[in-house]
Amino acid sequence: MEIKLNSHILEKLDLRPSCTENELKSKLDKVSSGFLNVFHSEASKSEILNIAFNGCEDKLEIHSPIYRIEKWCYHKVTNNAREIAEVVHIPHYYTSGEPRIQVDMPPTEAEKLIVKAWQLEKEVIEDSSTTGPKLINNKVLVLWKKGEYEDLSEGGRKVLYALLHASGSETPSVCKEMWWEQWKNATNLDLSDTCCILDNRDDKDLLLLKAAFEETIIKWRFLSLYRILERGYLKSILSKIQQEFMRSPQTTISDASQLLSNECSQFVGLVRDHDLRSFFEDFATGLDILSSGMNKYAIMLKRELSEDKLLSRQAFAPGNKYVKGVLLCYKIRCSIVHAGASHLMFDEFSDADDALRSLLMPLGNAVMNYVGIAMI
Amino acid sequence: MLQLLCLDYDNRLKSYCVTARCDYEWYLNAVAGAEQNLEIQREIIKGTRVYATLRADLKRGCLMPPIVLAVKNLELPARLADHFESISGKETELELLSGLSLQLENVNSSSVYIIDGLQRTNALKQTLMELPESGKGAFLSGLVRIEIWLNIPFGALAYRMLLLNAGQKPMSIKHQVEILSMKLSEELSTITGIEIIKGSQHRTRKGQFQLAKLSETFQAWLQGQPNLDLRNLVMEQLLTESAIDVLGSSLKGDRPAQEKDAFRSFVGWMIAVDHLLPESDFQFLSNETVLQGLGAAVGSAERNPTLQPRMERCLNLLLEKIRSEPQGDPFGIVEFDRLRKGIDPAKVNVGQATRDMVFRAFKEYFMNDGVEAMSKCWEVAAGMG
Repeated sequence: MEIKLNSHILEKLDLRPSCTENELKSKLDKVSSGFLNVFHSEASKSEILNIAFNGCEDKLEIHSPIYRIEKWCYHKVTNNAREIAEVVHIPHYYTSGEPRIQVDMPPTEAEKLIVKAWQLEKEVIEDSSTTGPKLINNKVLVLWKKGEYEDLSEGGRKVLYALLHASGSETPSVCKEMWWEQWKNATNLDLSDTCCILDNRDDKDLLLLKAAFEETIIKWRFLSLYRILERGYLKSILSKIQQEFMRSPQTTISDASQLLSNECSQFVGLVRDHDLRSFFEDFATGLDILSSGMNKYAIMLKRELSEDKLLSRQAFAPGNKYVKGVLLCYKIRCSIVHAGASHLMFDEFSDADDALRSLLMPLGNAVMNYVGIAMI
Repeated sequence: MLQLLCLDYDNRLKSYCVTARCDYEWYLNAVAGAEQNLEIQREIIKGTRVYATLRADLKRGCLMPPIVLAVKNLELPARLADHFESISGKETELELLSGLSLQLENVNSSSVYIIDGLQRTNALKQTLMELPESGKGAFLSGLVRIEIWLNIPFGALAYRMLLLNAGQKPMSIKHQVEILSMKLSEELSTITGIEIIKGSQHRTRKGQFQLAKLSETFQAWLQGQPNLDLRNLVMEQLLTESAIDVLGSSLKGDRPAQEKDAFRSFVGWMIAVDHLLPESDFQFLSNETVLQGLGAAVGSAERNPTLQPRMERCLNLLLEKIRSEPQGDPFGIVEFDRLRKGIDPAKVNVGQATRDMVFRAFKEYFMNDGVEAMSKCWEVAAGMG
């Protein structure tokens, strides 16, 4: 049987292009753990054999990560059970001229991915005159399953890169922590059927999502994330009208016009209808922690809410903690957007950035959930 | 005492070299302060356990590998000084040696360089200091073999030293174990019931073990920890020192003769178990992750005076159990398989995680002296991961 391994792999294994299956197996038996930093366990050897017999038709992209990576990270991108791509973050494990840094072995799935990536791209192994050939360092490998790369729009792919921290502009340091927090336990980025990354008919959603992930200034990132939900208000009202109008036209229109008269009600309605309540409960808890830690901005936000008779009645009603979170989020939005005397002004508080650092996480999670991205 | 044995010419360095032997007394006088003579020497490594072991061996009368010296400012016999030539004939050699003998015997230490053997010299000096006055005389009469390069030019000296130092670049434990594997095969092949297979041959019968897997098991046993792919130089050094201790204590003299090779005893136990395991568990001991984890756990217990007897009792207990009730699953293999399948390949390296789990499970079993069943120890080990 013809061996389908590319010549650069055979060369590194010291095999002829016309080598036999037995020669390949015998050579793999002799390859020691750690060789090229590619072979760590039997998994990589099995994958070499798999490619040797079946080839590999995936598409590889190599990105430079936004942050220096300290640990191996492996994720699958899926749509329901369909696999779209696999992603591995290769940690920074050496600096030229310095001893290698101790890192764990790659997860088995990452070890297999690296072998596929090597088959597709010779440069996955770099030749260095000082350390000899070895796996590239501090890179992100994105392996698209056959045909999936072409099926996504460029905008969709860019959002994915940003989500994967595979490439893009540097985000505030808080975002790095958020990212690690979310990613260290997740291995699967699942996109729902209606997710705008897959279905870009509503390209405005994709545009807003992309803008949010590219934003580097913390208050603008907060606002960019908020805008995605803001756009959702109207879509939510419209969808409700479409669903319920024929059954109960008067009530539907009356409910819709009541919602439209009040932005806060729209926001609360969206959160309730899309079941984002737990994220905004977390948001409210985050603000409570900040105010008890004497964050002036948080204290003033809570005071402003409690002084608003109409809103505070809703916000502080029993079982309505999420409403409190939604309204405080709305107050933050106003403090960033408005410069008048009727609202707090974000820029007047030296600790306002600190407050947003701990509130970006629940808002970001709510937005991800809303647009159909789940980290599992 | 200095006894010159022969004289040779190095055509590469264009220099003469005398091979000699001397007692420690002459040697230590000749090299007093010599380590300061050459700036490019490595710093003396103080306080490492490897050299503590060497000092202990010196007190017990070990013979060290030859030390290489260079001596300058010698008045060489005219025929050596004026033109370089090969030394032909024993008579000529003896004549030349006797001409050098007096000068070398009374050499001034400021003219002596240590090319290779700085650490050994330091170990000699420290050993002498550690001895009571009454023991020093006998110690100083110990013998050491030396090479003396005569009036060697600096360039040649530096070249030789760099070459030697480059050659001395520490080999990884892995590399050294690989080199030892043929000897290991020879040693283990006398165990009853073992059949050592090589290359791409596959295990088809009980008692068959791949040499490469046994070699890795030996490395894990030596290191006392299951991760064979060591990337941290400090860790590697610590493990090498620890491995020397384990091997040193398994040399004849420190153990009863029948147990002189602890690793061989361990492999003997594995072979016995392998033959007794039911057919359904045929793969258990051919799994390299199991072998390495188990080897590391046994090796780790081997260097702990409290755990060592417990480990032996536990291994015997398991052997007795499998012998009396082969279907009773004393190793808890059902539980091991269940937990192994639960390892998430997207989060961790399955091989590494399994190896760590096996290591922890057997350590747990040894720790509790076999009171808790292995099936329970697997659960504890999986919970620690």
